Amino acid sequence: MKLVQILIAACIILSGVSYAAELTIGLIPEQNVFKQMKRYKPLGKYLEEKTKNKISFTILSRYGNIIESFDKMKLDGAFWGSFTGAMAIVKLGIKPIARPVNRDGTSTYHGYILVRKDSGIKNVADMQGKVIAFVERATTAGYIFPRSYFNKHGIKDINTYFKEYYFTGSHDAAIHAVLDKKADIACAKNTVYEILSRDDKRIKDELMIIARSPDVPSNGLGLRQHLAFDIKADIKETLLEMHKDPKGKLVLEEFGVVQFIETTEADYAPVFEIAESAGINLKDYEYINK
Amino acid sequence: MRRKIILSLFALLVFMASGTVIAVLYMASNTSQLKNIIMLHEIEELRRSLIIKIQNVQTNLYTVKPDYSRDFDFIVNEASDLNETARKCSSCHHKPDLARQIETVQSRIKDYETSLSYYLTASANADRIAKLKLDSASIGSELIKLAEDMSHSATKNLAGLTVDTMKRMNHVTTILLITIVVTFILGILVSVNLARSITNPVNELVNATRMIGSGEYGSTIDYKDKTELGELAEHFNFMSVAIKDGYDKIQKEMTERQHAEEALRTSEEKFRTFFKASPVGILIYPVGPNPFSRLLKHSMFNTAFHSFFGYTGDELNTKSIMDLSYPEDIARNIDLIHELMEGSRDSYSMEKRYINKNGDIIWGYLNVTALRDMRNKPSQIMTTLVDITERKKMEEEQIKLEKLESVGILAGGIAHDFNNILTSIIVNIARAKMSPNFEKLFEILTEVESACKRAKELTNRLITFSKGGVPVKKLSFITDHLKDSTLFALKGSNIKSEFDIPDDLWPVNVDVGQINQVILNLVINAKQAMPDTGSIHVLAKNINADAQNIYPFSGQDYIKIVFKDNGSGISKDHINKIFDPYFTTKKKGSGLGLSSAYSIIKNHGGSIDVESAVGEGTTFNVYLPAVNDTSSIESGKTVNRFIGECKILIMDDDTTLRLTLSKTLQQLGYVVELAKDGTEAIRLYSEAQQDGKPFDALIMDLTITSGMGGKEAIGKLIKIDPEVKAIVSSGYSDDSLMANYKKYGFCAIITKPYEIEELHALLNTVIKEKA
Repeated sequence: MKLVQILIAACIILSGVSYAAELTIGLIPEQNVFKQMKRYKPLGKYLEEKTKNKISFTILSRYGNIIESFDKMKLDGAFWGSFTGAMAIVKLGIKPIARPVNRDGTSTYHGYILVRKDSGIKNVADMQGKVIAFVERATTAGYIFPRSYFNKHGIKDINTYFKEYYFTGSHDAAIHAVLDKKADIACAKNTVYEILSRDDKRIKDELMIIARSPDVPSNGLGLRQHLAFDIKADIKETLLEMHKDPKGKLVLEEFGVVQFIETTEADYAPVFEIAESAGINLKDYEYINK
Repeated sequence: MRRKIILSLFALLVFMASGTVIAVLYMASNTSQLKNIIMLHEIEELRRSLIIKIQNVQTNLYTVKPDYSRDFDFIVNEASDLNETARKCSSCHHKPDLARQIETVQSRIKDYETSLSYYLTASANADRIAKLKLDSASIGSELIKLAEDMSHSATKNLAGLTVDTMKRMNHVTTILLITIVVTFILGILVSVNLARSITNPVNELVNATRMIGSGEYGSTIDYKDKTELGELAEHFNFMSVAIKDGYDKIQKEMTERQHAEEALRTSEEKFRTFFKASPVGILIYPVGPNPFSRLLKHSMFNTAFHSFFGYTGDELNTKSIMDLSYPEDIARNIDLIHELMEGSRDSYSMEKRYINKNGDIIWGYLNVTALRDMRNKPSQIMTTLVDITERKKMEEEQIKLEKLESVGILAGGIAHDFNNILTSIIVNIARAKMSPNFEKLFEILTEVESACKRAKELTNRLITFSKGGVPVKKLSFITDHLKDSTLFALKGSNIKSEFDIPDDLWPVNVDVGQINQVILNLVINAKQAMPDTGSIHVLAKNINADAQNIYPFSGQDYIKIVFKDNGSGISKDHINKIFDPYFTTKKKGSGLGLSSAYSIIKNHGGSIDVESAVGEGTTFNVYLPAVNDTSSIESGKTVNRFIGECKILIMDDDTTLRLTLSKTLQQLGYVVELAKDGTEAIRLYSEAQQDGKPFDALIMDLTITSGMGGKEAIGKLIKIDPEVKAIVSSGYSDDSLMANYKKYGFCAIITKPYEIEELHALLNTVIKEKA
């Protein structure tokens, strides 16, 4: 019986699935890397089934590595953050394909500057000499927006204004840092904030939002410029139509969104504006954490 | 048997099943334990895998630079597998402490993932990074320790479980072996037992069947038990016995059938013999139209049948029933035969007249029966014919007798009254004659007396006709009476008489007066048949009882008296009527002579018949029972007249007669008292006895209308006076008392009408005897 099963499996394997292409899609450490991988795996499986292209994900340890990693690791695409996506458009010529629509119907996110309610910090002035946990230099909500916020509030040098600043690498790490009092201030995106608060009511009970950024596009898929047109088209069509497919709908539900919508370079305009207000030139921005 | 087989197999199966079940249960528990062991091994493998993965991650922590290489993915993948592995572990374990340990491992793996994620994604100062790394490594080491501890305890459990399981496996093997061996042995035993239970009785049955087949019916087998085979044996035995009984019965029936066939042949032969020899005529003829007209040659009849008609068999074949039948009896017979053919009757009987060969009328008693075929339809007619000619003659004679009797009764009644009247007349005449003053009256009265005597004779004849009044018999030799009466009757004629009477002619017990009358009547009849001249031959002879057997003298001696004349003879048409009362062919004559003679002879127990033909004379044959003992013949007695003063009691219901007789006897010197009936007579007699003035004699009428008669009164008188002298008087009576008066207590009789001298002489005799 076991031999038969092996033979059947071999037949399936040998006869079966022959993929058109093998694509490696990068995943930025938006949240816990294991959660990230777990979250995107069903989506990757669905895309494999529909497009007949092998989809494998790779976690990029840092937001900042994504541009180099994209080249070095010969990635075919990635689910870009808003800032990294903007940078990828500028630096790599990435073509945005689609981005998810949240359950609340939004396809954007914004950033929060969070403090503990019992920290006594109510404004920027109260933040002086505190420890602040950023996410990454290459994140809108996790760095660019707060820098823009601080700039607007006259804080030009964060090295001296704050006691310490560091980069947690992921939005959930930053939120946990302030929640666990490892930092006084955290900067994170609202979507991660919402996800974590569903699982941990301390987040809304104990943390307070000091500031909110403008809306920027959700983390969407962007593919390399020279990827085959039909592949790009298949993936785009699959993502944009998957909410009409019952199976696709289940995948979307598990993913935590309602659908994917088309995304173009124009959708990243708010990012460029925030970057500019933060005094950042995307073309030569040093986004790698030191 | 079925039950036995089922029970045996069931027991075997139960035993085998029990052993198997026990073994299976052991195996099941063993299997479960083996599964646990396997699972434990798998879990152990998982744990080892977990430990190896954690160790790999730990190693990569310190060796992999996750900035740009895909080894970051390796760490992530390995760490992701940790959670999956831990989940598999938790799905297997059931012990609470182990479950808690697995939960702890799972929880720590999550912490490990979080810590690794922080480390891998964080970009901060070196201290912070080193701390993050240390945190991750620390959790990893803790995980390794936890897993190793679990593995250690699991290994111990595994060893124990394995040993225990092996022991149980050995038990299962033992149980199975025992079960198999014992089942095998039991199976053999059961098979042998069942086989023997079946084959033994079957062999017996087969043997018994062979024996029956070879002719030994009734062979039985001894096998007995409560199973179907026992029942089969029992029924087989019944069947065998039944076959034998049936065979014996068939044999018996065949023997009986042979006997029956033989008996049938014998019976048929007997029937043929009986048919031929039967004294009863038998005729069998087929059913068909006009049976009366068909010639009898198409029928079957026996000797008695054709002899009845006086024909031979061949002669009868040319005749038909119609030819043989008396015409007046044919119509009734035809009606009856039609009813028989139609089925409204099965048979009929009738007395029928036929004409025999001589032309004589003969009587036959006919019984006709329809013989039916299988469809119950008449196929043949069987007729039996008995000659009843003689019986019919006797019936005719009986009828004649009855006629005579009825007329006799009438005559008797008339005679009784007439005699009373005559007696009265005669007595008064006697009184008148005793008166000397009436000489002319005497002459007239003498003529009247003579007429009355003739009337008395007439009534006597009538009485004689009605059984003659009972004959007063006495044993007498009638030789003289034959001659005297014959000569007396022939007085004044030219007819010669011849007598041929033996001297030793036997005496007969007769009323001489009546016999004389008979002789007179017969001779007068002969005389009348020979008006000019002729002769009459009277002969008599003794006939011994053994010599002939003629009705009505079977077994008795008798005398035969023959009166043969050579007169004109009697025609066939008249000969059967000559003894009828008032039948006569003469211009003169009452027609009572021969009928009277007939009646008298019958009353004497004799018989009379006639043989005659026209122009051939007539012969009368008289038969009288004879008596060989002559000792009782009475001699005559002399009556002494006695005239004296005697007291007489007269009892009679006729007042005139009483008074007349009283006066007459008084004239003779008697003292007379009168009574009208027996009751009065008894009273008077009794009073006289008591007064000391008894009666010397009584004259009592036998028959008293509306009162006690003499017959009843004498019995009472005898009780009063055993020596009573009573004379019974009667004008007519068929009472046997008149012939046996002494037996009743009377000492004499006197028949009316009687003459006074007769009465006076009788009184003298009676009183004298008393004296």
